[in-house]
Amino acid sequence: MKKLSLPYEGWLRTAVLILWTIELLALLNGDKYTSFLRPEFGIMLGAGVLFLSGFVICGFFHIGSSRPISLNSVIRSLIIILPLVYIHNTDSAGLDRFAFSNRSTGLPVVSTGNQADSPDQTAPDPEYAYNSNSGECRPTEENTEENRDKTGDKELTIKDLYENPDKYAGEKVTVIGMVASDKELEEEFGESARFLFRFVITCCAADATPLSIVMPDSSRFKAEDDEWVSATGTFEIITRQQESIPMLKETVIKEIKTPSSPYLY
Amino acid sequence: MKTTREISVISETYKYLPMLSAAIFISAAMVAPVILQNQNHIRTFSLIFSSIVLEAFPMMLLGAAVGGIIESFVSKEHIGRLLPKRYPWLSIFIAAGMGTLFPVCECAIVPVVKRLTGKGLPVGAAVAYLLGGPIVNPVVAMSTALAYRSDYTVVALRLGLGYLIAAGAGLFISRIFMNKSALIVDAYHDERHAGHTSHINIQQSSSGNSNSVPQSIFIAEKMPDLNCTHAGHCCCHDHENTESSVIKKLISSLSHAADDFFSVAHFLVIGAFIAALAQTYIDRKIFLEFSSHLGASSIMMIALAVLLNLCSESDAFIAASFKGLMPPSAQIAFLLTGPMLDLKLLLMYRNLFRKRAIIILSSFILVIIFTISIIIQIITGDHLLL
Repeated sequence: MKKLSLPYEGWLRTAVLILWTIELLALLNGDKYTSFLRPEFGIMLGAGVLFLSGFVICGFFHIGSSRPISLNSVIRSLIIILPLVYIHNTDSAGLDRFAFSNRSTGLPVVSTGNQADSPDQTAPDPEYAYNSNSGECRPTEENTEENRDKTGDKELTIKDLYENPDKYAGEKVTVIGMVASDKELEEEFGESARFLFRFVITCCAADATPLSIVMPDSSRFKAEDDEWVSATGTFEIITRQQESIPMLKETVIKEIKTPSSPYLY
Repeated sequence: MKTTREISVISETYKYLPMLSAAIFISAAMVAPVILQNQNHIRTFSLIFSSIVLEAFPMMLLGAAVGGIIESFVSKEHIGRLLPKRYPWLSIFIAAGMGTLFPVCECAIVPVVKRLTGKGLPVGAAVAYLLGGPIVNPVVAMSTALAYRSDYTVVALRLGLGYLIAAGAGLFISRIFMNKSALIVDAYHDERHAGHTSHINIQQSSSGNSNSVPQSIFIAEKMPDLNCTHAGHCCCHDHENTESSVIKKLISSLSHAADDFFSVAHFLVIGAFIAALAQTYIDRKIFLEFSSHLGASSIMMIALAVLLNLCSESDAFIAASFKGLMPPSAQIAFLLTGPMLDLKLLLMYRNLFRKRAIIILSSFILVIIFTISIIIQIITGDHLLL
């Protein structure tokens, strides 16, 4: 009796490689991969596409010499393509309050005093993040066309406030981020206190670290958890239990669309 | 009392149990994100799982490509010439520091080391490079300095202790496995050589000599039932001896690289899946509960390093975020553990080492790192320079 001939494992492996090649190309198209990775990692993904293409081409030539398909190889291949389901399931909004509450380790703390001697000269000036006369975000005279970066107006970020807290202390600033409520925060600052947070990533979303500022009085505005907002207020640093806590007082909130890049780098 | 038939039915069931479990798990894992996509925790999990895989995949492909090139272009004689003959243990100390010349992340290093061991690199040197390569390198030094705001004490401790642990592990493993093999590569090669012998036997049998190998196993045009996909010939010998064309060698290296990719990729995915579960569902504040107890903080940070599966270029920033919350000794333990031993690495080691060797190596790493962190905590207390 003739034995049933199974298809070659090479077909399965080549199919898996093709799926992954298509997925990486789709992620590179329109920079969709920045939902997961730092922008610079696009080069690595491009290199991955090249390697996979080489494997696919090589695989086509060796299909006939591979062993018959087995249950083991099917299971292994399914495991390898499992991430594709999750990549497709992810939107571009980035990490939210759920991740923030798991990753934050208490009230936010900034380092003060060190920056006074050597302030970061490249950090945006507070004036051109917020214009107190007009009440709008407008660039100052210093922020001429020559000084603007390629993406347009320089934006003051929560990261800038963390890196140069003394420079911005007492100034009116505008930053964007997501809103989060927290029981520990409410116990410390009252029921209306909220966090304004954003994630900083080094390589990928797995190493994302939340940076947050306390907004002590949210009764002046209505913002739900996980909403992206532009918050304007006076940046101050208060001391609690010998730690410097960043705060945004007299905050005015404006709801905004999710930014194209939800992370800071 | 069970009959022989009942026993064989039960053993057959147990034989298929792992595959059945894997099939159920894969089905559930594929369906869950689609059905539960509106749940915050599933969205977070999807993002983290995808991020870990997407970051690691290109590195692993690179490692597989390098391994393929080693397999096709580097001979055992080349490796033999490079190794110090007078003092073989010196190769371990050299290998532990090779990351300074050939920096590589932990995802890429496993396929590279696998091919190097196949070319005759001693297991002690292989272990030293495996552990030392991802930590003793300029990229990690720079990222650590950046994370700790140019505090070079931390950089020196991380790289120096990492080097010593890698070299120590290499010496330890080479001593423990002096007479037995720690590597599954040897078993892999043994099977290949058995296959090669059988080819000879088949040829002899066709001329009338006896052989003990059934002819149905080996067909001249097809490969032996191993991870070998080269058409038409056995692949148990060094390729550079039989294929002189550079193009053929490149094609051969791609084929080997694809083999390595498929032998390791599923371990990476499983490790990333478990790590993403830990990252999504474990609140990091839990780890702070134990920060004041001697040794407990180190254990917590070591466990965190194993669970988080971060690359060695970025874990310094996570460790630095625990400044003021965890003692410096615990942060050092975190910085040392991650590049040497995390979930995905533990699984990827299964492609290189026997189970017993993995258990011994992992235990050695964990015990040594814990001991070092306790010594640091005792010597300096909590008032370290960090």
